[in-house]
Amino acid sequence: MEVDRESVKLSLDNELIKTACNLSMEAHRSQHDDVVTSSMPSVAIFAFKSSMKVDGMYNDGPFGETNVDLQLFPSLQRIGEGQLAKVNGSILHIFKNLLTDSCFKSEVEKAIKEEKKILLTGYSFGGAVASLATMWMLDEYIRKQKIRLPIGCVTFGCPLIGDRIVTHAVQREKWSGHFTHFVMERDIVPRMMLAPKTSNFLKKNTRTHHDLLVDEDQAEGFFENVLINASTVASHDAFDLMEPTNSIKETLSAEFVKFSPYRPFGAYVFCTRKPRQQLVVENPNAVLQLLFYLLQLPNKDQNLAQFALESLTQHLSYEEELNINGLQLDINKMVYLKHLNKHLLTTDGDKVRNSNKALFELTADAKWCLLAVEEAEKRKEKNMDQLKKYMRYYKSSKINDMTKIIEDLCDKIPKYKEKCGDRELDYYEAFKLNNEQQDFEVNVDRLEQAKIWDVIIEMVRRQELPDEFEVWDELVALGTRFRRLYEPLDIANYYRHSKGDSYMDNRPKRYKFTQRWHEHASVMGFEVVSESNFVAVVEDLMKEVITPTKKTFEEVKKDYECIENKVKTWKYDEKITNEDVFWGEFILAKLKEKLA
Amino acid sequence: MEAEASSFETSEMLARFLGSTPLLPESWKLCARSNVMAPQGFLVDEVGGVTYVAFSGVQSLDGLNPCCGNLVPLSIATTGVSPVYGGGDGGLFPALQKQSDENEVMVDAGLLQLFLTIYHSPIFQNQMFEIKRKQKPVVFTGHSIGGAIASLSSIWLLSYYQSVSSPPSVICFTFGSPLIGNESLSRAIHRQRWGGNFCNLVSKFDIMPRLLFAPLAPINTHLRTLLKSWQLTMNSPFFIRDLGVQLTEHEKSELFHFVLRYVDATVRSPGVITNSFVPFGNFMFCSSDGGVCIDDTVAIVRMLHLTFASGSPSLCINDHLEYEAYVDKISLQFLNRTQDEFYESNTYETGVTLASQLISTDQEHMVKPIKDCLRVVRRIGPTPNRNSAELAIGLSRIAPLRAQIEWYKAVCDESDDQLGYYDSFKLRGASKRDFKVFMNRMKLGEFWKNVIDMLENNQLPHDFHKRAKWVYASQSYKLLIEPLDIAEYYRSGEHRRNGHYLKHGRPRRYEILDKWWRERDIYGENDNNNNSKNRSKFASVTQDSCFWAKVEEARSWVESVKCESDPRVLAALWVNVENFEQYASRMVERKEVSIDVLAKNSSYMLLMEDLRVLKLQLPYFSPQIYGVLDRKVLP
Repeated sequence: MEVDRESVKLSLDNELIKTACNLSMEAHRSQHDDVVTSSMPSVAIFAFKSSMKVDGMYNDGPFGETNVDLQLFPSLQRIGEGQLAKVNGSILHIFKNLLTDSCFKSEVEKAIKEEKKILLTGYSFGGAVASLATMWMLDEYIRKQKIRLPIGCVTFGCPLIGDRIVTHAVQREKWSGHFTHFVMERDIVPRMMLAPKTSNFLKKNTRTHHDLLVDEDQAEGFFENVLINASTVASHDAFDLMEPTNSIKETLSAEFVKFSPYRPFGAYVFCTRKPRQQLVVENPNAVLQLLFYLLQLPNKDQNLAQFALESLTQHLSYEEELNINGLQLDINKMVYLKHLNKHLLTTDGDKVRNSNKALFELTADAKWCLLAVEEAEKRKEKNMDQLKKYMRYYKSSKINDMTKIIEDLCDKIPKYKEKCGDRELDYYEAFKLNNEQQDFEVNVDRLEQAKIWDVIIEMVRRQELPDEFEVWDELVALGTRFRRLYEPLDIANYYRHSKGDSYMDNRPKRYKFTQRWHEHASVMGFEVVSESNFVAVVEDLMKEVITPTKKTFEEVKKDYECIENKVKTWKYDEKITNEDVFWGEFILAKLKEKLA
Repeated sequence: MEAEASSFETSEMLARFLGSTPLLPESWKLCARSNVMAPQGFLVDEVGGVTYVAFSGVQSLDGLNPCCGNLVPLSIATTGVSPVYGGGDGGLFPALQKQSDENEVMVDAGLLQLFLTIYHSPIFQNQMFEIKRKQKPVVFTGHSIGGAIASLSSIWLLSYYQSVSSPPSVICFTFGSPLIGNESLSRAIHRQRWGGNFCNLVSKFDIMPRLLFAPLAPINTHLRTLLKSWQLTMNSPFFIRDLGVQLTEHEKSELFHFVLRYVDATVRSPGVITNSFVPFGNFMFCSSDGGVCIDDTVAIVRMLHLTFASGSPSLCINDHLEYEAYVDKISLQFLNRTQDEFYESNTYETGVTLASQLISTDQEHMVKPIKDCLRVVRRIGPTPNRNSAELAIGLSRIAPLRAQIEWYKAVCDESDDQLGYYDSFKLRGASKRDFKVFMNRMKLGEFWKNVIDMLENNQLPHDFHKRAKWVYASQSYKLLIEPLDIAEYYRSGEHRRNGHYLKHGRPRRYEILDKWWRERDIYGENDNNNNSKNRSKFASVTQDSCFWAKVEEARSWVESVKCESDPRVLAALWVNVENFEQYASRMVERKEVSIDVLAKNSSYMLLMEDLRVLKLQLPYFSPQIYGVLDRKVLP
């Protein structure tokens, strides 16, 4: 059922990168076209132009971010909370125009029909559009239509455009490998969105080959502003990763310090010139630290203005770099940060140190922050291992007979259902009466379940678990089983103590989250009423029939029919129908009788 | 789970973060301006949506001198001074006056007086009115003595905001401020979780933040000269040094060594001397290389000592005027890479080394003591968040124990002997079921005792006791189990040995849980099942967990009435009994008791019957006769 992740990843080679870079520059200089395409026998390449003025990036406030459209980007959110990701408003606007006005979409579909691999690319702000287009394609074609075509995205000097939820979603969906961002060691553009707008950017109409972002005499101020703000963001995030106990940072809420929402995503390739080496960094937190630390002035004697100018001109050097093979994916020049982490604080020999000079020239605190990133990753894994112990028995886990396991607790319900059958009641009604020893015992199980799931949900909300936790198939399956078996009991308990309000207004997060995980995993669209909680709606309608407060009899009847139809469709939906689901025949029949 | 120590020393990273924000330079800018332009007053400015209030470090010394270094209770100094502004009984700092179990919260008399003078000025009142109205975040700041006024203002505003829902943030940055209060103040700030609202910048050698460790009377004249000269410089538009009368080198040396001796003594004396000054909040120690920021009181005192001792008589005086350079340094330190390179065995030691290098600034002999000092505050054991998650799982483990007791209660309440929950347990036999309830009660007690211990040892997140889940879980624990504890207390006859439960037998955990419940955030989640709507049926558990203790006490009064002959004592007893009757009938009327109270053979019903008979027998003992006596009101 699931698309094999590796089969849809586009593997890059030097030829492809070269073509992509050249095409990106062509698109960048193009006067007319928003997208330049090139079709090779097996690959379709789309290069995006940055057709905007840089000032436009800040249209919606100091950082210009805005919520994504859920229809276009259903995956760009935190699943459980339903919290939408934010991206740069102008880039989103450009992309949406592209999708409706140009022939981009038809070209893409043509390529898909021809079963070509697809590569999206762009230089500078064009890279930002390309990134967004890639995320849209991954959602639309791979996730939704389940097409198995390799898709990739290569950018050159691309600014940051998405917030930490985009980063989270990309990690969660395992999309990181689709993105390769080439960044010159000191290029200012990939960092500039870490700062609010302060400078007046040059209009890019009089385009020559060498247009700068800002006037030369403004370069110093612009650079300093970016560096200061990059430092704020980097130290803020690094401090959080270090599990601090000091509370002053919490006091310094967003009210006091407004800093950039943008964070990197995908793999970054930092390119240095002296010597020509490449550092591949896959962890977004590490990328953020390096975006800042690589921009630091090398020493106290460094002239700031000169350095600032260099940083600006580096943005214009990708083509040149390509021509002297600086962007080649050469195994001798390339090194992965994840392999170097353990050498960061040691005196290991020259070989390791020479493997990437730029990295080892960083100061001790930079390396320290990179280690904090790694530690945080390990910590999340460890938290997940802790939770696993409460989910089901694994061979490796120590079995402690005090510990109740979610899976065991789930297995008890079918037995309870059976016993209730002897009482000629369905388990919902039986539990609502709650007058036998076995009802009491099940109630204890319900409480145990609730507490374990509450812990899981709390950790998800605090983001203390790996990004991919919420799409982990075992969790989704177990959560769905739990929800179908136990939510009717919670509803029964709720209406037994009938507190007046509707259950739907007080639905526990453990059911909201588990339902959304299931809906996301099966690409279904998010609903409020589901197969596990419709009984609550029926209860509310029942109450309306007895003592009408909000609805007329006719309205209730209509609502009832609506529910009845839903139940019917669910019963034929293979994603939903399951022996665990409680279909509420008795209570539905009772309501129908009342309405007759 | 295995114990683990924190793997990062974050004091340097925190200072780096704070330094990169505009808050520090903006605060300092206004401080410096207020020193020049607003002597004895303050300036207000708004930058980027944040309001800055800077108190001038140039203050009148007349009021200061005689009492500088004298602690006075915060409460005495404020209540009654001006009830018009103070707003009711609590004085200006209601939040800091509740604790009865420790020494009084005290602050320096002179500094408090300076604050009050500014506080009562109409211009300050107007500004604060505006700030409160706008609901914007506020930074209080000040250089030198101005910093102390900023701290007091922050404490005042934080106290005020306690009664406001979702108040705006308040933060206080001081530059070379003297200490302002005693240990109780420091603890009270800690307990209110306000430590994170204070950040005191202290330069390595500055004498001012260390001054109040020493008694000031012997060095009064030196001090006066020094303060005057400082203030002349601070007040001069071009920051001209050495204005006015200067201390001689000899006098400087006397001053330095005098203060150093007392700072030394403070560090050496284990435990804190009462009636001495104690720091609170965060301290950011600045050197010419950058800063580190720490919040542990012990570490702060040690660091204040270490860095001061490495200075000299002239440094300790000049450094008080160097904050501009330090702020510049801290906010621009990240522009350049530093040259140092070193290797440490782990990430924790890396942080320690980074921080110690920043502070020692090439004074090699200081590196080791500073490292030791930082290691003092290393957190051992899992993080508060991890602990809280573990506890939540623990809570799920005890849920069945509680459910069993609920089940037991339901059985007792419906049983034929009509004893009810409380009396069934009190008069229980040796059945297996009774024993199980007994054991469950013990286990639940252990669990909650442990929770409270962990919270008090700072092993749990700072807002733990305000999280809805824990407030409600603890309340339902208390309501269900405390009656059993009371029953056990009277069953075993402990009241005859130690006195009644309420005064002499109540476990401390219940008092703390009472406090959680009282202080719960009424805006928290799912409060809907605890609103004050009239009940239509009896509560499932009695809403006052001490109800039965009060019944037992009343019973002993009734017993005493029967055999007492002294009319005065008798009268007092009757007043007590009558008060109890009123309290109990009010509870029953509002249906705030559970049905077990009204079971036919419950202690309460038996007592009422007893009382009725007694009153019939002794009609002339009507309490009205003794109405002239003082009535004690039951809680």
